Amino acid sequence: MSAAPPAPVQSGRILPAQAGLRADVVVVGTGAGGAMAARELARRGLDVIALEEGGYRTPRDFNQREDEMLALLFAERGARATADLAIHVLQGRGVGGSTVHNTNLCKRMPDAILEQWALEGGSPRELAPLYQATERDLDVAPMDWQALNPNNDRFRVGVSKLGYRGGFLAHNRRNCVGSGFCELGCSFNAKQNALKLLVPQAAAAGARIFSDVRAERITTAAGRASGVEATVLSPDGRPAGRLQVTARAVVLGASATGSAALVLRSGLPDPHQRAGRNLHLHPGVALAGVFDDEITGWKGIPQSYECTEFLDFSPGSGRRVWILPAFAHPIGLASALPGFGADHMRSMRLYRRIAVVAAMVHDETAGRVSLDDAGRMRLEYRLGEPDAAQLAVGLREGARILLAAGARRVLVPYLRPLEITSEAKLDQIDERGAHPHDIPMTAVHPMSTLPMGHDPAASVVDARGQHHQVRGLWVCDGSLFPTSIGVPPQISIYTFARRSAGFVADSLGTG
Amino acid sequence: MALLGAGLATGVALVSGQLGGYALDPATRRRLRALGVKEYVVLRAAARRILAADQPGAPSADEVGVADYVDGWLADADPATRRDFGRLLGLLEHGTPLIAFRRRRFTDLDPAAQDAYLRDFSHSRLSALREGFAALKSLCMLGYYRDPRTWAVCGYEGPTVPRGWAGGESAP
Repeated sequence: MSAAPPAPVQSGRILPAQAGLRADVVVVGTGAGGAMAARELARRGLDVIALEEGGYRTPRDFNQREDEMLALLFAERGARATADLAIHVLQGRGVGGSTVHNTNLCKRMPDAILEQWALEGGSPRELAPLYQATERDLDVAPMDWQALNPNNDRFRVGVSKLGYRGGFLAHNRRNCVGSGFCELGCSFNAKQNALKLLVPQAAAAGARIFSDVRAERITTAAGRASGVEATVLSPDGRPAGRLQVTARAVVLGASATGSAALVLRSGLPDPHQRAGRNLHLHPGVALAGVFDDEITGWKGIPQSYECTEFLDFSPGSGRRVWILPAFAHPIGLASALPGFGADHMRSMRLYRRIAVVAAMVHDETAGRVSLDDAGRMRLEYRLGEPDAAQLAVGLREGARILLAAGARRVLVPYLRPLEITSEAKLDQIDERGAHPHDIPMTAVHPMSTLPMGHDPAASVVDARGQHHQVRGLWVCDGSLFPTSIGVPPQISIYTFARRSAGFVADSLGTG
Repeated sequence: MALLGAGLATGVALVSGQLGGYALDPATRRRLRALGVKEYVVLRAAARRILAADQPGAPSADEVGVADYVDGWLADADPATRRDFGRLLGLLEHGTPLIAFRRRRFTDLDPAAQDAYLRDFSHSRLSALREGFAALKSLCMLGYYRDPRTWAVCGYEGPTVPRGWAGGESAP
């Protein structure tokens, strides 16, 4: 009998209680950015160590139980929120990061955004080959008619009847059985993501990948990044050991929240006080249409169709809201539906006949990642009025789409709920708007906290991803993006990490 | 997670003068991992109203063990979250005079009055109270709809893989 192949990831708990390791590069985080960087750097012959704060889970751990997966796969067990509690922020935690729980959306950065950034070497033409390579790696392909579950199909019907611009989305999945549990981790290993592909590939190329290790501080020597001090975590999250990694370069891939918090905790030079600022989230709202017949929206592939009628990246277009189908398992829906008690349970009884639509804003609001007195991360973000107005457009048009698709009524989950039964009543949404604390908001795309730029006074890293003040410190996650990007970021994070990894390798003389 | 802003601390201090009168059976008391007896009693009372059924047949919050689940959830949460949740429960119990001009504490109100008070609390002009209620409600929903016995309420068919599913690329 042949021995099982070694696991690509080892828990940091196997290390001595006070451990010291050396490498060419230490990568912090193993989501889309960190895993891609680790793989690319290891494949170029560099000695790579990757550290992941969360655990290492595989499809046999993904049991589709909503409560258990929230605790297992999400930062703060799915309870992360902005400091004012207005926006629920869902981020992954563990090897693979948010690529483990996302719905596999792959949508390239809009050309207009790249042109606005005007980064050296970052034009649409220059990035196209990198996107293509990433899409090949991850088996990205457009969804089609067969992929449409009833929730998505009703949405498509509504978009089509209204003559709105819409189309199929592209996903990174292979051999998908359509179980509908994507956001709880795929039990069938059909996600072509960091966990399934990039982490094993990085390990196969020689990278040493440790889970259960929290990076505490970036160390520097003579103005250069020299490594990372980290804490090994016990199964209950308590400190169980110390790890010092000494390296020639440090690459951050711990997300726009985690990477920014690490930079702040490290007390790195920041003469223009830019680190952590400029936080964008893509806040979103959702509403539910009640149909006569069954939708069973939790079944099948989620989010296979989109409406881009109100999304235009041209400067000054004033159309910044993306509308798409969404659905939740019972806990998620129960938390979002308004009210409580018997009225709430009556709404829950409609579950099988509900279709859900979400609207996400390409946000101009700039929030901030900061640290409290105890060094804990805070997400400060107060949605600006122009963004709130965009979300109100999203609510109104989402309701219009549901009505056009045949919904008998649309439930808008304001604190004092609104029920829309005809187009004539849509102006009630305009009157109510979409304000924080009056309607549940969720964000799944933090970005822009360590932005790229040519001007050190307005950015944290240069156009290649290297820190302006601390050479040898690189960023390869969504922190990089100078602005909101208005589309799901995963394929761009993978791609920009690939790009930055090339520069890191070049800087170390192995490119 | 910061369940509640620090601003609530002042409100709690103003209204949390009453103590005592919170009875809990010894077995439940021994099971508590995060909450004190008083906090548990307040949470259990709130969960009963937040998850009140619309018709006979739905499992009750007590049958599903919502308060016990939330206690366990909090035990695994960070200390700041436990502290904030304790403050929230204190304010819920003793905030009746300030929030709804009622003299009796929450757990001493009859169910209809508790519902009215919870509605006032959840619709408060103070966003911290509204968000605090949202957090309480979310934890109650988590504790309730996690249980397969409740899925008949909404017609949810649950996971497609059995517990112990070894993972694989086809449906079981």
